[in-house]
Amino acid sequence: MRASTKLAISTASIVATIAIWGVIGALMRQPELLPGPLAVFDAFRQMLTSGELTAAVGCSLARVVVGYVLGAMLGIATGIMLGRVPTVYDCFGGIFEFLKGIPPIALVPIIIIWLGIGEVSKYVVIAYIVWIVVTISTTVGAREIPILRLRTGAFLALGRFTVLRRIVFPSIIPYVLIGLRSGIGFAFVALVSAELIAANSGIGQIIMDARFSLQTDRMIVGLIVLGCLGAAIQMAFDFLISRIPVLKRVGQV
Amino acid sequence: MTRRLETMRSFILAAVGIVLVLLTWQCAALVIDMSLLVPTPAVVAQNMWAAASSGHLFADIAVSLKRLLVALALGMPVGAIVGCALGRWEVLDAAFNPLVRMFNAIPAIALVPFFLLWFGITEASRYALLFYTVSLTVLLSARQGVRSVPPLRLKAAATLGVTGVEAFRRIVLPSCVPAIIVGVRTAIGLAVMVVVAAEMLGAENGLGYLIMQARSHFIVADMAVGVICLGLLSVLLDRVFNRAVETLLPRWSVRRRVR
Amino acid sequence: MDQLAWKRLLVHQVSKQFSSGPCILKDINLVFDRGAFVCILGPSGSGKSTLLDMIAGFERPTSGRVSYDAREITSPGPDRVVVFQDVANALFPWLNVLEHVEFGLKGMAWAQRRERALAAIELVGLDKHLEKFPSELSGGMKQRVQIARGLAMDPAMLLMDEPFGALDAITRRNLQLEIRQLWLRTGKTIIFVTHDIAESLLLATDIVVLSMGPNARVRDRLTKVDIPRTDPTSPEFVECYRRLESCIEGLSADDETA
Repeated sequence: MRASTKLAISTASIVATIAIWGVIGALMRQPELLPGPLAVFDAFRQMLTSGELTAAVGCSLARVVVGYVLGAMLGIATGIMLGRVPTVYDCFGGIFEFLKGIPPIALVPIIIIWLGIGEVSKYVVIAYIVWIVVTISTTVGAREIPILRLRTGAFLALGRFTVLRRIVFPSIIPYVLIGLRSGIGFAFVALVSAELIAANSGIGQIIMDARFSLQTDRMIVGLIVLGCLGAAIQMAFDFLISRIPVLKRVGQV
Repeated sequence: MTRRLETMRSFILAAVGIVLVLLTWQCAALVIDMSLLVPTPAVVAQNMWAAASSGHLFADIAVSLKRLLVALALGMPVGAIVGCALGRWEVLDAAFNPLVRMFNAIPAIALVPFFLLWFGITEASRYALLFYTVSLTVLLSARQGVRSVPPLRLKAAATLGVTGVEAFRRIVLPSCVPAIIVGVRTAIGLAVMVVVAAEMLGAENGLGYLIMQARSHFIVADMAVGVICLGLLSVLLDRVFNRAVETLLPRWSVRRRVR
Repeated sequence: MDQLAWKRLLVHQVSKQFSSGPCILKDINLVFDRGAFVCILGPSGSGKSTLLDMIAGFERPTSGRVSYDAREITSPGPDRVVVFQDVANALFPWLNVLEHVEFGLKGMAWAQRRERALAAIELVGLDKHLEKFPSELSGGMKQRVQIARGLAMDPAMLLMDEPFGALDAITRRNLQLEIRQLWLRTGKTIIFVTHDIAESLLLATDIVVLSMGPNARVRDRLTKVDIPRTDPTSPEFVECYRRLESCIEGLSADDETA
């Protein structure tokens, strides 16, 4: 099927969906439940011009970035340790598997009690889950460094630190990138988790508030903005990675 | 080292790891010395025992588990079938993939308030959201599985006289089983997140509710009980799932290795 | 005409050009007898795989026709089974050896299918590995499975696209000898694509040399090759080898200056 035909069908389907949405919204007896696309667009415009949306997005984005960077850096360090030192892996590998299974939202109440409902608790929640995800991915990479490369380092009599810098780091890059990429999604989940429960600002707060004030149109705006934000960050990440030639050279998993 | 010694070694080290973590925890609790805020492992264990022996804990776990399993049982086949359909027919794919992608961009957790608003605080709303999450995840994996069947495989089938619908049944579907397995594994993890979130934001039972209850009473120890049970539940689900795959789908297991 | 075409493969004035691409093959004319072991020899890019694809039925010629037994070949089928080089992707990871070989057998009783499959498996020497899955097999064994799978179909001809190219030298040698034995035992028509001159001299009764693409043509044709196969020092072998080698080398040089 030609690309142009596919594009046509896709566009038609999106347009049809919006149209059906509008029709159902109009037909429903409770307009609060399903506002039509026009109502949602209105709400969007309103929130945008009042600056509310930009403030919320800025807030949420800042939290994600800080938490993500913290978690990622810790994750890479922990992952290398777990991956290169078999004793550490045997000791703590299972614990990470356990921690991975705890949804971030379950930890939010505890962290709020400890650290309050301010920014710090949100950074911690996001950093925590990103740390776990990146650690797991990096560990796999660090454990699977081709033995040939390590032996080369050995027979070249490279020092410990040099081996780390020149063999381990480059070898684990594909795995780290996989972890970093999936970390983005998890970071957003953690962000929303934190903002839904400790709702004082951010997109999550908009969504939560809209629930209690029954303003579904604002809620939908929040959801769409959230989705776009997450997708945009992921695309930005992919774009950045593709632009750095070193990373491409290092090869695929 | 022999295999047995190795397994024993791993086991011992894992135990050492747990002990170290508990010790650190204990020290932190002693240092901070606010028993309500940072309970010692002993207190948490006590609370867990109390909740378990009274039956409350298991009731909550069972409720959460039931929601999970029902949603999986319904969402998996639907997601797999629709995903395969999208992978198979370009027209359907062109029409629905963009929509699927867009919906997938919204984290399922963020939809909890929406579903609670729509369906109210009812079991139906939780199931609806869980079903949505599971089927969407499995759908994407199944679609990817169908689309990434090596074309050479279909050529080989064609040269043996197997084409069309027969080829779809005998080549494409078995080929995408590994992808669907990965999708289901992901879906399980997501479903746990969603069920906990739904229970925390609008429910009267379940592990999520347990945690929120403990929060309203400021009993961190009980919250820790909930969290630990969640972690253990996830590990258990993962293990059971892997075992199920090994048993029910041995042909696609990864255990076999090339000589 | 029918007499001449009976059970023979005819490639008549075949040219192949992919849409908006260069012309890969030009005016190929070939006739293959039943029971021949034909090698299509040529350097990379000479369109030999494309020719095989057309005989198999995966591609249609842009002009001319390929026919077998006076019927034009328009689609792949079990009378012209292909053995591919990329055996990892040509096998089905969820089927074991026996199931693989039984795969294409249809329209017969279970017992008969089992019998046919076992016979083919025995021919390639894998009868002790019936329950193994592809991930448990070495490269050479995987290729044997592919061959057995094809042979079980009792095809009119076996088409092999550089099947041993991805194997190590020793396994390759073993499989070459085995395929020759197989041919001697079954008398099947085999069309074998390769770029290895020695391989073609070991195996083939007919050797077709294609020139470099684009516009590849038949540059040379050896028929009824009758030389000591396993003695590369014999004068007949050497003479053939030199002839083919200069043919191929001459072509490459020609195309470079052209």
